Amino acid sequence: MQLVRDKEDMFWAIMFPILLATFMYLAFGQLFSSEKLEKLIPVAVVVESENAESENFQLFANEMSDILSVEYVEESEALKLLEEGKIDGVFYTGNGHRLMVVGSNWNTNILQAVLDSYTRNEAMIREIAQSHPERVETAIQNLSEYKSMTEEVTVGGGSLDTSLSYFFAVLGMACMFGCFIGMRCPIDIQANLSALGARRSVTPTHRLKLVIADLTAALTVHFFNVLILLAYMKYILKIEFGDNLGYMTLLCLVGSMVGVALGMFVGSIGKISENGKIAIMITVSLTSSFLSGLMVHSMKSMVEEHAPIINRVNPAALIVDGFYCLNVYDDMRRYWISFVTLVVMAVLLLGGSFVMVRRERYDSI
Amino acid sequence: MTVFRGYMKMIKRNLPIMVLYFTVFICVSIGIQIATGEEGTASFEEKRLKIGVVDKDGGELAKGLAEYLGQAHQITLLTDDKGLIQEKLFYRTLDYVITIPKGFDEEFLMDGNTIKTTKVPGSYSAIYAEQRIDTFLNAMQVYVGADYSLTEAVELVIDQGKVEPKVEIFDINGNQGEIPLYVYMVKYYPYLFISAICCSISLVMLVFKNKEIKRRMQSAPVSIVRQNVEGILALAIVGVVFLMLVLLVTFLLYSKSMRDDPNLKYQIINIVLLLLVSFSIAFLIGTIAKNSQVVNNIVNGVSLGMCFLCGVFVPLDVMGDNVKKISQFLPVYWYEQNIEILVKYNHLTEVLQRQLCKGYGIQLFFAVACIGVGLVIGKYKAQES
Repeated sequence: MQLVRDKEDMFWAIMFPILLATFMYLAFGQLFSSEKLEKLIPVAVVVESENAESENFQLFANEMSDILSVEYVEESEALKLLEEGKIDGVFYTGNGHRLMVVGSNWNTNILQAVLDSYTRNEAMIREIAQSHPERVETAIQNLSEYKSMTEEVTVGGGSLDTSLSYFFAVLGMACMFGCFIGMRCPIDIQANLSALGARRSVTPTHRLKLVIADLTAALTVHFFNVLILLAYMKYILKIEFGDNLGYMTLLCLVGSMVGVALGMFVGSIGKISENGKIAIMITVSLTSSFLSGLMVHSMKSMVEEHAPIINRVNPAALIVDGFYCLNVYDDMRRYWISFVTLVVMAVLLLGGSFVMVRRERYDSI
Repeated sequence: MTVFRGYMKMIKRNLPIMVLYFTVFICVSIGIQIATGEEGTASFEEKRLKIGVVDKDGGELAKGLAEYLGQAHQITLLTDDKGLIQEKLFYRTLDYVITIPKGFDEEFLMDGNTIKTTKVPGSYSAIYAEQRIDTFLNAMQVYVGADYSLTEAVELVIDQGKVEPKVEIFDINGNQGEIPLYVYMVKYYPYLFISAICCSISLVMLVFKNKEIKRRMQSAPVSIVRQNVEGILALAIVGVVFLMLVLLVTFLLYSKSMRDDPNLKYQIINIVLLLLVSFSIAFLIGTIAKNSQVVNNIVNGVSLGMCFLCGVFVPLDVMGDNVKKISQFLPVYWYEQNIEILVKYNHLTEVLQRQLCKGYGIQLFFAVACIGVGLVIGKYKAQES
């Protein structure tokens, strides 16, 4: 109960992951949820010579008014606008089509795709006009009905939202941050680290009992925090976690256990100052979360490609993998492998912690 | 300068931990830069993906699609084995899997059926495979609709797939539109600076929050203003040393690219202002928080939050206007905006210089405001105690 009474600690422990999830939700809302561009891409079209080719291109450019905001100008004016950053690219037409941009970004990438699509379609219509001129009109009609021909599904058959990987990583990190709650337990048991520890050291209660009681309290509090985060993501941010909430909760529990156990283990190392222990835990939890894809979603895949062993032993990556297995891969076998690995890790860390705090004797001075 | 000496003593005592923070955060920042560098390149240049094709149909259209995809990607034919596909995607042996259903030839030509695709979660690059599939199948519909046989249509689309659009670079940054390499690292400084400086400085500030030390200092014949100034001065030394080390690491990694950048001096002013912002945030957090755990939670929230919202981890181009309106209140947004201007333009016109100064000014204002708020809170807390 002492853990809960420290309101400031509790507030930030709950608020930090919730704030982070909210920031991510804001940042990715546009990126993954909306397929429609909010703003038109400003471009200039320079007609180098008036002919059928340039007329067709102008018709095409006008038809792209849902993506492009087009200005028809002379080359010098277009380059000036490009230099001033008022437009993202210049299309040249009349003597073949080309695109001029100042560098690579999201918008220039779209412009390149637009030109690519136009060039291919033009070649196609030219071919049809030569071989089956009577069919050109039908071909143009079919061209205008361009549609997406792929449907993205998970291996299990459900749909997949790319931003999920970030939210899984936040959950993994939240579990790992249990180490800060866990760290208090051994400090409160060891006589040389706290006044409470000194008082508890003289009680006849078995050390294992003390360790288990503290672990249970810390785990309960931390697991509750993680559940609040999970509920916030699922019911307030409406993130599509699928129907496996029971298994997700179970994974959060074992993840929280690893986080708390890590804190207990580091906290049990007697000869390091409290600040030193916190620094070690920040290092471990942050590196672990970073490698699981918290800041860059492709990080975990990169690790898998270059050093897969890290993903097999990184607790945050195992938690994220567990979530993937439930929501993306539909693979319970791998879910249980991640689960058992996490349980083994927690047991080893707790065992190590117990070995360090048991039978501690203090000299009478 | 007793207070200054006291702070320096605490800094010296916590030096190993500060070095640890510096090392961890700089390693994470370099890691982010490497990872996003790869991702960024993949966003604009078509990346060769490892694509698995489950061809349940075996018809001409399916074979043509596989061949067309094979022009740009590496194709592996797979049997319809869910376990095998899971295995290959999980261990990244494949980036993308497409499943062509039985009877695809007929159904596609009659109803325009879609094909199911699965990618490795979190991969942007898959968009290139999707575009290619869409282009192929839409073109097939046009040709077949114009009375071409399936064989002719497949041949023509495959031939046309070899043509690339002509894109030229208008070289206004003197670097063929390319971003100088060291800037990739500079872009991620906000995370490094805010995290490392806040964690390090708060270590020292928290020591001076000890009730007994605070009471002793309050009873000393040194005014609170002087104590604050001496404290800030000592902590500023940590900031300056930190800045030197970061610039040194960047220089060692990208010396040529730094030397060649005509806008280096403006970049350095921007970085110094970011340092000031980070320092002021650290000072404010150090004033509010009562222990290292709270500091850690706030620092993570502030650093990661700002980086996600202000265009450090996610490009500003792809964020909604409403989100950008929120970001504009944050200094990191203006830091990133200034970088954008400096990498895009070799010669800074008067308009651009004004924009740059606006970015500098907002960062400076934020830093001064944070330190001001920190001092007020500190004074209020001292009176309260």
